[in-house]
Amino acid sequence: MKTKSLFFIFVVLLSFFLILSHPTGSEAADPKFGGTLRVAMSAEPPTIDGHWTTATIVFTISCHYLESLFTLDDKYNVIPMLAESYKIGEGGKVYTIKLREGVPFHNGKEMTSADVAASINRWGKIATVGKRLFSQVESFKAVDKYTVEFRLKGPSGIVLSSLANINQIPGIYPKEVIDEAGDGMVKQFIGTGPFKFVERIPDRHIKFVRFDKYASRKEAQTGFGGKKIAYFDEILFLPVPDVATRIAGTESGDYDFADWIAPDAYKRLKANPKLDTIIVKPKEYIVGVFNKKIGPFTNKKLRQAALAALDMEDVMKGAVGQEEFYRLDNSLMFKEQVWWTDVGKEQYNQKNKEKAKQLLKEAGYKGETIRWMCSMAYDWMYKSSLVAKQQLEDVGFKIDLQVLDWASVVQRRNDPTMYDVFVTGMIFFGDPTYVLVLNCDWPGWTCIPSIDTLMDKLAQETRFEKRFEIWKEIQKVFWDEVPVLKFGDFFILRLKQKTVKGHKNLIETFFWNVWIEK
Amino acid sequence: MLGYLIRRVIALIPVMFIVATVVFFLVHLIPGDPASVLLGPNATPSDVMKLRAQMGLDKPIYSQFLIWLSRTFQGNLGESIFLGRPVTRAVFERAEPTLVMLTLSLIVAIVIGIPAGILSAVKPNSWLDKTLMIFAILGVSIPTFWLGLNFIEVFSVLLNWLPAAGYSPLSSGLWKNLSYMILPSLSLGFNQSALIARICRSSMLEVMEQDYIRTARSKGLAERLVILKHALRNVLIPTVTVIGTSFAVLIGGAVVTEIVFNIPGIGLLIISSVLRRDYPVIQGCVLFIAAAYVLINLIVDILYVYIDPRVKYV
Amino acid sequence: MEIAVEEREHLEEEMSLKVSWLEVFKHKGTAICGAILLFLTLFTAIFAPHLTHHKPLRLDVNIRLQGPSASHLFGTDEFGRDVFSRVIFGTRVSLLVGGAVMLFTSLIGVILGILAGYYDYLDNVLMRIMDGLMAFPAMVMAIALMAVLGPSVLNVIIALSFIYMPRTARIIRSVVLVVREMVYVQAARALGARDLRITLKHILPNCVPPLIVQSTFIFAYSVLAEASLSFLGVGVPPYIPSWGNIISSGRLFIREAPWMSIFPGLAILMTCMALNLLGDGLRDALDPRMREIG
Repeated sequence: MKTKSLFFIFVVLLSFFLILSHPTGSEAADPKFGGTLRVAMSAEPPTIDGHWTTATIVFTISCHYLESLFTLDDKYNVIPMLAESYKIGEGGKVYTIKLREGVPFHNGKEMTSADVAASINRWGKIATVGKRLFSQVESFKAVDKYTVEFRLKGPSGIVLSSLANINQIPGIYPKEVIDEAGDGMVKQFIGTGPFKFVERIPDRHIKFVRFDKYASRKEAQTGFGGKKIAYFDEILFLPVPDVATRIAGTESGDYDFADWIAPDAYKRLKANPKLDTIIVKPKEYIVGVFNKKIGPFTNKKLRQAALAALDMEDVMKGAVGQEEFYRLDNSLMFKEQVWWTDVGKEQYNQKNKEKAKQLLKEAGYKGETIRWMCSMAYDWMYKSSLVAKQQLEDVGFKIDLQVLDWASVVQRRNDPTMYDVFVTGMIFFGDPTYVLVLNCDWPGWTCIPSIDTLMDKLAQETRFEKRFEIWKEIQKVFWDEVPVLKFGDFFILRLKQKTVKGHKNLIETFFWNVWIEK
Repeated sequence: MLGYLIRRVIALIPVMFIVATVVFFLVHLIPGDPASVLLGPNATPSDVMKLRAQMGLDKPIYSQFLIWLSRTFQGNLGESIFLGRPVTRAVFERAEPTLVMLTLSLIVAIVIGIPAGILSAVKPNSWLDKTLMIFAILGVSIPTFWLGLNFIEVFSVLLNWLPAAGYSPLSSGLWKNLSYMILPSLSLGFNQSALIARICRSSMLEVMEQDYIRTARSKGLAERLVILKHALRNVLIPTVTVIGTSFAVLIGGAVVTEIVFNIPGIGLLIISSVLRRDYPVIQGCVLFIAAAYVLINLIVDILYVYIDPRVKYV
Repeated sequence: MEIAVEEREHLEEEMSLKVSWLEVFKHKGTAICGAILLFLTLFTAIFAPHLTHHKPLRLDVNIRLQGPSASHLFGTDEFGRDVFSRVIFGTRVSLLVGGAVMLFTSLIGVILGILAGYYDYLDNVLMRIMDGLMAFPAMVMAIALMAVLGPSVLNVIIALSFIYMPRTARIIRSVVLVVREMVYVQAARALGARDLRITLKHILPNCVPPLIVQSTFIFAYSVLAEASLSFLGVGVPPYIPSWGNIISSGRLFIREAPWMSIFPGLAILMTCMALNLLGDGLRDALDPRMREIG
């Protein structure tokens, strides 16, 4: 009798133990297929043609259906995506890229070199980064069914990083789609990505569904590459331009994920048990671009005077609000990148009013009104301008602040008679040759001969150590010449339901390898 | 009467022509153009020039106007630059939320306004009258957007009774649609209800002084009957007038309300089109709204003939 | 558009009434209330710098989003600016815009209305244009005009004057049409009096009562319209303190800093109520039946 009851107790205790030790938390649970993801975006994209524009929101959406030959891993280094392998030959002048075989487009056709050639050629004609690359390219063509070849005019350090660009991406479309587009935008959004485009109703939604025949890479996910699994049946991108509505809608459960959330809501949203707050580091940095073609800021001393007066901490705090969302940094490439350097940091954040006044006098400033352009469309542009304006006026500048809508700013900044300073954000660049504020063609017209020469050298050099030295030299000249005012780096807040799992916090967001845990 | 009608309809033509002219030139005066917006912030000026030529924006403005005008006469409002679909289709796709909101607002305005006005008039200078009239003044003075914001904070965020923003189409269910539409309609309608209440009250007061009412009363007819039969009839006139002019005000208020509540209606369409410089859509929407306004006023004027026997159209 | 018979009768009656200002205020408590409130608002606008030692434009990011306190009665905004002083100075913008629009619409409206009412050949053209302008959705016109002109106080005044001017023109025109037919006017004409003299002596004085009433309401509409435009971001520049601007930037912080939305909203409410009360009182004094036209 005793043994039997003992045994019985043992079994009960054992079962108890087994039940209690069974993991109830969903942390280690398996990803589930199915469901719809509702993503609230900050605007209606002008298009979802991946080649067409540099607006970052276009990448956010089109990366789900469009892929490129190379992409970036989680350290922002180049890794192959649609490319299988590559060879550099003839002293760095020939890049032979072998494509993966058996990769289907959404229309069932297999991707071949003809598609790659057509797509990259188009991209090379319309994309800023593409045009830069192709200026070094002598010829680019398909060699055989799965091979393409770049022949360069000289050695170049930017081939792979250009092809891995995560903005205005060199995405691969079927040749027929490129031919059909002609000089305009593509009309069919067909790519090789894990999600298939279904429909776009402007100002209402953009719909994608899972592409069942997606040819995934085998490596584990890293950055924007590696294995991609589409767990969701459907993704809906919803344009919700008003940030207060984006927040309210996510809090009420209407949206699963929302981008570009105002940092001031951070503390309150962090406390919400149903939501996860994600700080995206890095994102962009704020710059005040001087018009160096015509006007008072053709004078270097005046630019230096403006720089001396500024207290960057106050500017960034005014621009962004919460200290978790900005950092003071004088580097033109982010801390998270291998290119980071603090060369020139003595010039940054001087907050020296006396020196500024002195430089103003030396520059011969006679009280001319400075036309300062910004937009409310991105509130940090306006806010940083307002703080900077007060600081500059305190040392004697006269500033006429013009707050316009974004379309007007974009148009006016091409006309040197219309402004003296405009404010914008510098996005993430994979390679320092793409930093727009150093470009002579870009508004602001940073046409400094020493920088131009160094940039050409940078584009042609292939070894990283040598390139890094050149880059440090460029940044040194930058902080002496002050072609633009860099205020600081800012981060953004993303919001998601706690039930959304698997999301990787990278500079741009994407939804493969993401699922909802109910 | 028929002659009057025909003359009014013919008079619509110059009015619409003026609206069309004003909107076209106004919109084309706005700095910036759709080509540069479409190409994005880093396009070169030569890219923009090329696209502008493709869009026909490089032709002299007068010929662009005449082209647009002649197409419009044939019923073709053109294609939206950003939405890639014909303007008429774009407008119809977005019309439902705005129409629902306008209808509900008008219902709110009438349902609150008329009874309030009548009640005040029945007992003039009583505490009821004074309270209602204070609310009326409040209603006319309160900014619609501020009212909307406060509604959202109280009913959505604090009490969580209703969704904060957005829209659910009628096809997805009436109650769900109403849950999104109640707060915006209340914000919009409150203002108009105040107007209707005041006008109702003053017309009623005036009418109740009239001889024939006094006669009816002295004959001993029940108070209620007196009011209902005689006074109401006369109240209809100014009330219908207000409803006619309300439409114009409501459209303006609708734009702001759609922004506050993020409702994808015609108001938001116009705003985003202005920001994107989508000329055909802005022009098309304005024409639609103006046409609706003019038609509604015409209907109101015709209704006058039936409800006020003293009105004669010469 | 022809005037309905009834409208015409009302106008005749109302214009034969003499206006006695004392009578207005003796009988209408509401008008007195309105006048007092308006006077307070005017006082605030004029003496704004003396009512607060804070500067409305001065920012200090280290004290941002603080609640109401002894030194900052209405708290601070997202730039650390004192909200109380911004609301006080916002009064200036609202009254300036409202007053200027009232003046311009009256001026232009009277000129156009008289021209249309007096000269038949101009009437058709002018009235068609006015109808066209009124058929144009006002908010859309305002937004488009501001996009063309650019954000500034002057441009808001121009845009709103353009939008409200047809209303005044139509009312004045109606007045002129009625006065024209009056016996003593026709007599004066027969005697050979010049048009200008008739205008000045007979027509203008009769325009005054409806003009005063209409102007008061246009003032109120302008205050609301400017607030709406600034709220949308197409009114006065965002750093100029305007009640609409403050509410607009307060919207993002409505839970962290509700004081940014509440106080300016109350200011708008109070000012408009004052104007509406005053307008009502004036209208009652001139003729209760004017309600249907205004």
